[in-house]
Amino acid sequence: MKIEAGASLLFIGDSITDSGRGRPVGEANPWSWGEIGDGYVRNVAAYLGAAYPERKIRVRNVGSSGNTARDLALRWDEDVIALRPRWLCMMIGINDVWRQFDSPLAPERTVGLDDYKFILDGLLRRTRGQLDGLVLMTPYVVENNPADPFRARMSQYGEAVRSLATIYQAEFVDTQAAFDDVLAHSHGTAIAWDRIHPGPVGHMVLARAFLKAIGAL
Amino acid sequence: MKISAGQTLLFIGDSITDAGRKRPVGEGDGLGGGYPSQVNALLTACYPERKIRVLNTGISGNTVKDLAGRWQRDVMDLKPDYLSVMIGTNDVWRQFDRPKNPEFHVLPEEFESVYRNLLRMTRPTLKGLVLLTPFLIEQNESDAMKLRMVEYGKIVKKLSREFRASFVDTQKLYDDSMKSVEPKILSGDRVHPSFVGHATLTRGVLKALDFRV
Repeated sequence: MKIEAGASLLFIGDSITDSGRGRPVGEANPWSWGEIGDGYVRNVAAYLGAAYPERKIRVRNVGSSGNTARDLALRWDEDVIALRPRWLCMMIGINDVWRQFDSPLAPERTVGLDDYKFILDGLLRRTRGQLDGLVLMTPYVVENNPADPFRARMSQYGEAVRSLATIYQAEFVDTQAAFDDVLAHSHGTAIAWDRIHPGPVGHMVLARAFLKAIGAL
Repeated sequence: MKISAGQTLLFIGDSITDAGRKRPVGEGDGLGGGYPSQVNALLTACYPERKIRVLNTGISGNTVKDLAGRWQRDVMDLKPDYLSVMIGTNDVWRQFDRPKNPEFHVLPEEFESVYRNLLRMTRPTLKGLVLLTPFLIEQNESDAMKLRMVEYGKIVKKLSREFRASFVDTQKLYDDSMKSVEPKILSGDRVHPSFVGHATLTRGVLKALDFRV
């Protein structure tokens, strides 16, 4: 398992990561596990605590609902740099694409593919040197049809994440592939009612994919 | 326009009809945020002299079996002149989002027979009947849930002929819209329409009533 004893692990992203975390920084405490949110981050924190109790890994969550790559850049100093994590996990891009489809008349709310790559590249270039480890997770759509335009566009952003993972020596998590394994046996509506926000099963799919990537499973 | 002065139009259905209406019967400002409210607004704006009363007894999550369980109270007792029914979405959806719970599924044969019994009981009491198909706001024609929804729409079409109802093919209306509008403008989750999506249903109902704005 790649994350060392005493390390801190920080998750940043959008609503999937947020999942109702506490503010300003989501972190579980004995009297309120809800502070870490009730999504895949909680599953990861619970599993690391159960399987690797001796490593005492600190898990924090600064995901924020609705965020795009541009929003992450605006709060990066405060929410990443200042917290000095040794491991960072980022999953972003869903809203960057989603707004292109649900708000096509408001281009200022979307983030095009070139901007997306440029913004993330800048953030990772600044931050990678301070980190022991980096995990990059692709955005995804819980949709059975690969030709669906929303899903096809999302895959392009996933490919951009794959390239960044190579450049910045990150553990790469192909969340779309992880969901596809489950979608082979069920319709997407059973996993995520709006194709984006998963129920407990979908959050476990994400947690499992993350844990595999860091060698914890 | 078919509905005469002083008559009552009742909407019944699932969450799409419900749209947050008041209990026990939605009326006026309590019609909810969906197409029944838009229909009411247009009827009142365009035909103020007819004083048509619009009621809404849609309930979120309902299948045709749920409608049968409350039909006496929520349809017969209200004595509508015109009745509009849109049901079937949950009958199909539960087959896909709760695949392990067959008790929530209403399969085609049962859907048709329960629906037919309701209409047989009610049609003689009505001046007019409007039947809307269920729909899925999805462009992929081979999506399993959409195919199933279309199958239920065909049953509604058949019942419309049997009971001389005005038939609204909501799936066709949405399929036409999706040629020029992103599906997500019409619905965030493919089932619950946005304000624009509700306007599509409103147009369908108005057309069925020979309404001219």
